[in-house]
Amino acid sequence: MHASAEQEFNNFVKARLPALSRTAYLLTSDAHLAEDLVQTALLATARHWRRIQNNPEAYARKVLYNENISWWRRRQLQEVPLEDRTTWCDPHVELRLTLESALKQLTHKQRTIVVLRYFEDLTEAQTAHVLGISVGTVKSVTRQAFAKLRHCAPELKELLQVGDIL
Amino acid sequence: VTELLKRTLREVADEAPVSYVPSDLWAQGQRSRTRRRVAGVSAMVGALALVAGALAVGSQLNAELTPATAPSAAGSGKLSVPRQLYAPPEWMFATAEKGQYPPSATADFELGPVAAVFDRAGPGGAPVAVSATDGGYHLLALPVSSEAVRRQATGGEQWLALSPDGAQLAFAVEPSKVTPTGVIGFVDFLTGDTRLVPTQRSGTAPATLAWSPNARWLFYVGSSRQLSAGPRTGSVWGLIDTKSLTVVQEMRADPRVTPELPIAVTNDGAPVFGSANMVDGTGKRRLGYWLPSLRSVGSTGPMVALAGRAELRDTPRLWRPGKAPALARVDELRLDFQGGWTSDPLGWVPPTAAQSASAVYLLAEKAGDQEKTVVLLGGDRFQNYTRVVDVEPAIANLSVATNLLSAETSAQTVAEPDWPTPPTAGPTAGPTVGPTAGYLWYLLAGILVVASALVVVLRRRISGRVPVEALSERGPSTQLG
Repeated sequence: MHASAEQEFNNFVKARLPALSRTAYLLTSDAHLAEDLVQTALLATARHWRRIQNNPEAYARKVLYNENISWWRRRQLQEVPLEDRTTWCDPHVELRLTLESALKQLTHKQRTIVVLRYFEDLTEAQTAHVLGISVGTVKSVTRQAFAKLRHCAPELKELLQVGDIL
Repeated sequence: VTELLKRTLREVADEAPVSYVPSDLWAQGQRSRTRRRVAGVSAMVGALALVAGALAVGSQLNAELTPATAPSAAGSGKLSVPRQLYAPPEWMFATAEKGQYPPSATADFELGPVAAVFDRAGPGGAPVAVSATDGGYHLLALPVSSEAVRRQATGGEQWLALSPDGAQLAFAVEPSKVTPTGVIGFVDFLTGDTRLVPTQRSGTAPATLAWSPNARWLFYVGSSRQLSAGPRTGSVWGLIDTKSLTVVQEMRADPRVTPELPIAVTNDGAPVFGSANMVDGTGKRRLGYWLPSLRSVGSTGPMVALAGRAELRDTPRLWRPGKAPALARVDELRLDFQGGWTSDPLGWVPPTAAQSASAVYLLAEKAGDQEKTVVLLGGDRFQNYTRVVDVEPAIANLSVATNLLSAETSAQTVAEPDWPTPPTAGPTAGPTVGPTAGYLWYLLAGILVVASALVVVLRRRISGRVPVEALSERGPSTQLG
């Protein structure tokens, strides 16, 4: 039974590692942090495998999201831009790179909610359930996230109308 | 717009490298699970040790603050008088300075109903109360001078009187240079309140107290003396309404009445002196039969009832109103009461539905062997006798809550209380670790176990490092993904 559980876990890791890595990278915007986040989530999944083996991915993703926010809270990291805004908000770079740069300026919580809503395609209610927060909080954080994106990337202003997004 | 955002997010995600995970991730997860379980169990054991240690320390401190508890009476939940009454050791009455109460005496009188109050023969200086709920012994620091208490204790009269229900204690204090009038003090064991009621006349020295069976009236008799502690000039008696705690009557007694005479008061507040003529409070009205060896009286409640104190080797004489004296010869009693016993009535048991005749409790005392016991006399002619409480000879001026006495207590046995250790050890005794110190070790061990478990669980958080740092060390293992 033990060997069988281990085999099931390894199969799960092989199958879902790329998807989890993508999400972790979006959440952290850093390859190393994303790797740590994935390892933490998978370790927790291995620890509780017998209890969650019916739907391990949901558990792993939940750990991913919550750990990302916890790390940020725990380490009290300050979001300090490495460059002057006029430098990284170069109006001449491609739109995608601009958006990617702007996403890095979001807080972990804002980025987590944006990723859940627009990458994982979760509804506001599902996002609130996964993160253990209220729907109102999801709405307000999303609004703050887009306000920040508009501020950091004025060229995206017309594409990020709150009324269109929310 | 959302499509643009989604597409951008997908493009960013597609650039993400696949994370590395070591091949022994499963084994690490299982080890982590085991570690957390061990830490959880350790924390639970530590918490239990902590709670047990705290409880043990608390109970030990409580035991040290409370002089002693009779084991069989503790926890029974029923109010009762212990089967045996023990005198606390003499050292417990020792005081650092004259006029002070012993350190073990308490001024917190909220003890609940009390079974008995007495003095210890010899040192004295603080009366002892025995709890009717847990059998605990408490030295009382009364709200008067300890020296005044000591004088009263050695005076010989019944200066302590416990109400029949054990809820209140009355005590008599002679006048002094500080207080020109005598004082009757009251201690309410249910609320912890104390009241001092001065006598009406200056120089009145109350000596003997008696409660009415319903605890409404307190009858006192004493002497009237000059402030300069001159010779007694006569007897005075008074009556206190315990509801309002006021002296409702105080007057000079008939010359034939002396403070040494036994007294009683009915539920209606009618005082009676126990003399050979059984006079009433004025000393002028004869109430009953003439009994040659009468010394004590009692009251059953609504009626005046008198009890003769007699030497049991002769003929105990007990008398109920309206009937001829009931005489019981000693050979009708138990053999162990033959010879040398004297007795004093402690209280009366009114007739009940089950028993038409009243009964009486006596404190019987054998002079030669210094043996004391409380007996219950019952039956139509008081021919039945039951030994209900054994009293250690060193106990003096005993007053018992007679409503709490029961013949059923005779089956119980009470071991001597575990008196606290004297403060000074003997010359051969070396330094020892007391029980409290032992419990503190348990407490310390519990704290250490809990702290260790917490450190194990929170180690990574305390260090502030990224979790599973071991995983980030890329070893020779292969990547699963």
